[in-house]
Amino acid sequence: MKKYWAILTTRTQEDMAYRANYFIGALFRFLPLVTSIVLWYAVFKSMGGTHPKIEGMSYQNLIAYTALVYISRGVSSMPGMTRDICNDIKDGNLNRYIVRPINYSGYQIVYRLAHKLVFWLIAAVTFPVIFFLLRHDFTHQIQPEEWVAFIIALIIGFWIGMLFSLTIGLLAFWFLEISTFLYVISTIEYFLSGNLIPLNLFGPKMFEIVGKLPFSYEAFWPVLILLGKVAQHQLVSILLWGIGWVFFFLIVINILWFLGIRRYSAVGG
Amino acid sequence: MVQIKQLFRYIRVFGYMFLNCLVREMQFKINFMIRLLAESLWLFLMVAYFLIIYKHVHDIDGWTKWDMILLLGTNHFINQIFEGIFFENCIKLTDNIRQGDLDFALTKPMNSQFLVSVRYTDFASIMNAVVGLIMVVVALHKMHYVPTWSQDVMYAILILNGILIYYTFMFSFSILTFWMGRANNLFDLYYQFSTFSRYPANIYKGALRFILWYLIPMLVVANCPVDVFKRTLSGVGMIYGFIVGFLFFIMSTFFWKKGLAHYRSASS
Amino acid sequence: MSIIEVKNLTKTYLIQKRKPGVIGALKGLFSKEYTKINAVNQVSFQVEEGELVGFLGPNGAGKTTTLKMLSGILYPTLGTARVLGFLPWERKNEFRKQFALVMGQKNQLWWDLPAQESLFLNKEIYGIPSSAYYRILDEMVELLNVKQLLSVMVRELSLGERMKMELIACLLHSPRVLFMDEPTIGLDVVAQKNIRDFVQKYNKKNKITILLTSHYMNDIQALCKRVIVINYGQKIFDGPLAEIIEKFSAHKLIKIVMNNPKFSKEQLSEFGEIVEWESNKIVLKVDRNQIASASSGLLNQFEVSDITIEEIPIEDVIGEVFSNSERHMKNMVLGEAK
Repeated sequence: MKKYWAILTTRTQEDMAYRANYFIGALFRFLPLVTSIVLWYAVFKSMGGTHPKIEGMSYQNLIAYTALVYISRGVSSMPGMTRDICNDIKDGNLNRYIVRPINYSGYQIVYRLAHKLVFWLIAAVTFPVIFFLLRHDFTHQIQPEEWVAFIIALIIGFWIGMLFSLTIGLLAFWFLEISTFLYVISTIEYFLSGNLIPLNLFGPKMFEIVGKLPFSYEAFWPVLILLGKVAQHQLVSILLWGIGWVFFFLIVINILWFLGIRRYSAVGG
Repeated sequence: MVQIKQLFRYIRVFGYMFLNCLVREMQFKINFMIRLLAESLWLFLMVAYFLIIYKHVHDIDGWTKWDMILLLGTNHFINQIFEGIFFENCIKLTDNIRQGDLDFALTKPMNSQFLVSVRYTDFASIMNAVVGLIMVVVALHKMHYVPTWSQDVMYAILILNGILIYYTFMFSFSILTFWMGRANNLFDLYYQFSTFSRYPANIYKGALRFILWYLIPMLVVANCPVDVFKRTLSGVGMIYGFIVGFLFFIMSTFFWKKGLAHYRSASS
Repeated sequence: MSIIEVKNLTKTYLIQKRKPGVIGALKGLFSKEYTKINAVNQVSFQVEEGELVGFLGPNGAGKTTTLKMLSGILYPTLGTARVLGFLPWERKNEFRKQFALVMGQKNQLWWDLPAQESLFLNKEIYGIPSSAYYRILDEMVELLNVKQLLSVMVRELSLGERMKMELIACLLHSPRVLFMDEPTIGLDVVAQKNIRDFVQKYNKKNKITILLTSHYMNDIQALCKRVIVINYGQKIFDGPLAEIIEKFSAHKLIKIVMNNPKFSKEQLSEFGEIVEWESNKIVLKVDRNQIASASSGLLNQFEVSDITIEEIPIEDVIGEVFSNSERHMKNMVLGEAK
């Protein structure tokens, strides 16, 4: 446990050392939120009517959604993780981990946790300010069971984000030059997680599919639960489906690692 | 005469670096082809985003679907040209400042800002700019709009201004490395600010509009050229659009000179 | 007027101090502490056209910083310098067209392209006419024997070959002044010698002024008649290489070979410090002034079969100079602190 603690603190220090860089980054992360608010305002104004709704979402709902997505995305996104893993595999850095008494996947997870820790330390200051400013758009009275489901969905989202990044990263065992592929994947992941636009706005037919994909847990579902848009009888099945995805990725990673490491040592790194 | 000769020298050097990059890129054929497609992906997703919204609404503050696609295409074109010529260089610049690799650019008998700004060209982005242009043509066609000659010229000049605004924005962030030691997080700022420019200017109101029009002129970038076709650009707005890109560029040269005084030229 | 004039050149850096650990990082968020370091301190010298001057000093002595100020890369904190009559840090194009900088640790060639592409780019940057370009290129390629390497990817060249290409890239525009910072660093002995021979020939042929720093005494000994020694940012010697020994070495070596083993350490160490001891071969380090008396004393007291008197090797003298000045500087710093 101690060695993982060392990774955690070193990473945090690294972040702190460039404080200005970090704080500015944390502050301006909310800029796209401004654009979204402005756009939704214009859209709803152009729609006319007294209480216009898009697929059951009111203006307030959409603003609240756009703001809350920062929480779920903050939990589930793993910036740079896939790239780091690919580089480790490509440059032969993996040998360092194989010879040391440390589990590579474990190392990666703790390393990311450290990054998240700093992120959340700063978020603890910035998020409440944003939510306070937008307090009138949070119209739904959140029920206790929704809080519980929200927390569980967040945890599922964290693991799906982590495990999906790991899965893609391990593909570097087979494909050497995949930087572009990573870009494509992360862009699609961003879109299909409901980051840009709530998945239920895709229309009923499309939503039937994209709502079932693992990405939807990285941003969409936790927020939708918090908005009170998920009926109680659906909560359990949605969460179970997400847990199913987590196990699916765990199995895939184990297979990939098992096959990959054999190939790795056979080729000689 | 001397000035013109100088200008030709700069063009030749740029052209030669351009060719070097092309040759370099061709060595990695497959990656090049994938990148060509990948860069357009974001554009397609943005189009999808708006198509989803336009399923529920006819126009947004007077902007119809095809107006919006015209704007997206224009913005994509500006973006990709900027990214193709300058973006990679700006990213590399921070590393070069930190690791002391500006030395050679500083000892060459040419403008050092020029040398560090255009060294690497990213062809995939340049090619992708064409996709943006195609969107513009399609949108104009769908709107049954035939621009006049003078409109085309104005559009082109304003696009150049847009590129200069992006360039100055990004370049200034890179230069902050001279003072701050690391500025990587600031690059996200470019992405975050540039999202402003792909939406219609008139949806922004009040102080926000003032800031994005005058202080951080992201709205000038793509909206000004599009307004030429939409005939909604006022005379004052047009002149302002012409000037602001130029002013921004002058600013970047000023920052560069200030920053160099802080250059440490660390040895490896 | 000299081609290079340096007066009281000084460069001061502020270095940020940071305490270790998480607490240190947290403290660093709110306050920063700085220490001042004089990388170059009041250095003055002049170099005449066509001279080849060596810069000597241990790591971090300020050699490279001085060269970078003379190249216009860094601004000095104090003092001034003129190279070819220009203030280097104004970076006038007329100035930059007349000098070049070679750095053993940095690379200006395009990594993924053949070297000739980078060379041609330099032709365009310096605005060299085609006729001159091809003439000079042919000449240099001949001298360095790298004709067949021009079309090889730079990343596939050996370190020595890459350095040769760097040299060509720097000399294409026939500079009048050349600064070389560790041009032979990391190269094997043969490659070092190749580069050295080339520099010598080129200097003779083109009357170019060269300022050179190197770790390797071989480079300096072979190339430079005059050396400038700096340490801790200060100039401590400027003159012919041979004078370093006279000026800084207070000792000479007496090597003796004994006829029989009838002698003891105690007896010998009365004459001087014993440096080597190998059965009947002994080397003594003796004060310069006492060479005569010591050698006659040795000859009288022992049965000596052979005796020679030698200067201490130059590397050792330089080493001694550096460690002396280190002590000197430490005393100065301590003195200031009091």
